[in-house]
Amino acid sequence: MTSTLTAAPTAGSKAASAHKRRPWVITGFAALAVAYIVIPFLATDPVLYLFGYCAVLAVAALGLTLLTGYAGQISLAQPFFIGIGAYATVFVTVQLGVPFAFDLVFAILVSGLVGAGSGWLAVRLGGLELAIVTLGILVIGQYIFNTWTPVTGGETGVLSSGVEISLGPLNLEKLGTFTEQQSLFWVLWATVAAVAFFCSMLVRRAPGRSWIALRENGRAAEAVGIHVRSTKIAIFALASGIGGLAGGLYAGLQQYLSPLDFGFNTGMLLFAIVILGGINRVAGAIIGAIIVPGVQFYISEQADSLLLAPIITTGVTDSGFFTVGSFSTLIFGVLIVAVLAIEPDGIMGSLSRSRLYRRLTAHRP
Amino acid sequence: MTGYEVLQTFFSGLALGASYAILALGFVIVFAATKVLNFAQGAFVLIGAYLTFEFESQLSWPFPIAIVMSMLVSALIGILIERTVIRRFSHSQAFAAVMATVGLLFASQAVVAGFWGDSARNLGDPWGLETVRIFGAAIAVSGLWAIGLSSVLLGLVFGFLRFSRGGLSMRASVSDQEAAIAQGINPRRVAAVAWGLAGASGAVAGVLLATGSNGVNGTLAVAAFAALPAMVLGGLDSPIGALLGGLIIGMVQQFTSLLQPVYLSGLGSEFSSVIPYLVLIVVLLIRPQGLFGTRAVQRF
Repeated sequence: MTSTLTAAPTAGSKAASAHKRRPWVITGFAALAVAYIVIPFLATDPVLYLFGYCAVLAVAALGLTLLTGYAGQISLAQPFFIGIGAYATVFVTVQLGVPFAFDLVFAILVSGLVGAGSGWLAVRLGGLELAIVTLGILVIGQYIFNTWTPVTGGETGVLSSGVEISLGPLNLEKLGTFTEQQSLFWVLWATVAAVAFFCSMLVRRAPGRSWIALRENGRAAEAVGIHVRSTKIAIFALASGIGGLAGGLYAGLQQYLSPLDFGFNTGMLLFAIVILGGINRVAGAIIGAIIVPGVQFYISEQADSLLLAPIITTGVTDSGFFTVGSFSTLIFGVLIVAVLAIEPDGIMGSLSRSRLYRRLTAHRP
Repeated sequence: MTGYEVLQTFFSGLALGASYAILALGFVIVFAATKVLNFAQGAFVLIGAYLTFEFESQLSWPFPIAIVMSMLVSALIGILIERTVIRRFSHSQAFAAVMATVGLLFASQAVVAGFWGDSARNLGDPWGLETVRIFGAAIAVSGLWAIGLSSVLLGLVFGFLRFSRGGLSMRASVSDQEAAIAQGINPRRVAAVAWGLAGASGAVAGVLLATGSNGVNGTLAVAAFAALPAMVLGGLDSPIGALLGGLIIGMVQQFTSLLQPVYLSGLGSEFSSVIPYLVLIVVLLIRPQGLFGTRAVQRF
């Protein structure tokens, strides 16, 4: 008996049994796969571009989910690391002419290294002090992006249209006869899936458990043998590296980078995403990254509709209280407060507690 | 660099530091009373500045009345926010409450932009543009006003905390909330007073930041964050620490903008704007517990 209890199931048998016992999970993933293939044929280019932007945000938000949701380290500096990744990619591609795959690795490494540095600060600080210091890192980052003109182009920004997402000779932005937006959709969402898979592997295994221990009680974590110092530095480096990856993809998606893309508002956008989706869930980051920019896009599309026209002004002569920008800011703010007040675990948290979801995903004997 | 320049910079640093101190005081009082890091302090700054503009320029009230009225309205808004929103988060994790204040900041930025539009408004120069000579150095009257106003406000707040019954219950619930409740102190009233004080001090800070050439605009809300380093430097829940931290950062920032263009011009023209955060990071590297704090620091 002892041997059967302690023997770890092999990966293969585990996966096979999951196939057999959880048909609804498989159905769900199959539906996602179908959507992944079909959406680029159905949606228009602006919508596909929006989906691409969502994908970049999803990758960055996944890093934030690990760092803040799992490890409990409140960091406002994630946009800074996205920026480092983006500018590093542009610099290496445009000025040095290195192939994109290597640029991406370079972007991840640079952001990860700088992130490890801020993790070193986190070793010395707890909770809210860390939030303030990371806000400081974000502000200093804005200053660097605005000032270091040879690399970032300063306030006027830098052209990133030369950055093509490609793998060796294969340019993934122009797949065969498909348009650029269609190709970008497939490439970016494949990356999201890969990063999400990587993250969900990590959070279920030893690293994830040590992050949760760190979040719940640092001293207790140290007492059970988790090296808090190196764990903090590692999770910061990892989350920042993922941010850098998002930055590299952002440089590929956008034609043009401005320091404002990596400021306080982007940080708050990311927090709105992870809070709405569910900060303790890997899938939450992705759901939030689709919903929040989607709602923003919908508001700007529908600004002249019957429902929103009295509230939103679109021109000088138009009556209405809010501009499109400030109305979506308002929606954000109210959304954050409402989600935190009603369901602090976000959409995924509330979903995972619902009876239907539990029944559908339960292991059947 | 002459001695006059040093003296002038000393006074402008004092003036800037005084406004940082008032801002940091708003953060500190709320944090001490409710353990919430209140990012919505920036909203009070914004609302206070716009209300003063509205009362003074549009309704043409005298400036002192305009500023007192906007303090009162901001204080009421602060109490309202505490009653309606923050109270719901009093038992949850710090993170949820902090993010809720960020949500509030966004919502109030949008409402302010709805009322007054996105363009900057000019609050004018209520203090006048004259300079006075002190030991031969030209000191702007507006700076002296900032110092005077801040001193009065800081004096009132410290007097309230030290001598009044309300201040006593506030200090009691900061040092041990359960014991304070056992003595009959109402924690909700303490929280409401703290938010009211934060609203009023935010409004004054908003006026100080917006007078002169700066103008009233939406970025004021983010400008308020420059006081957060002052708060950390002084230890998160110490009002005296907020005062000293604010003065230190104001001084360092003004002396940097005096010296850096001459000696380190390669760092760019806006370098002094990031000084508060650089000071913060450097100090925390050397002294993780802050300058005056005796808080328990976990180090591993």
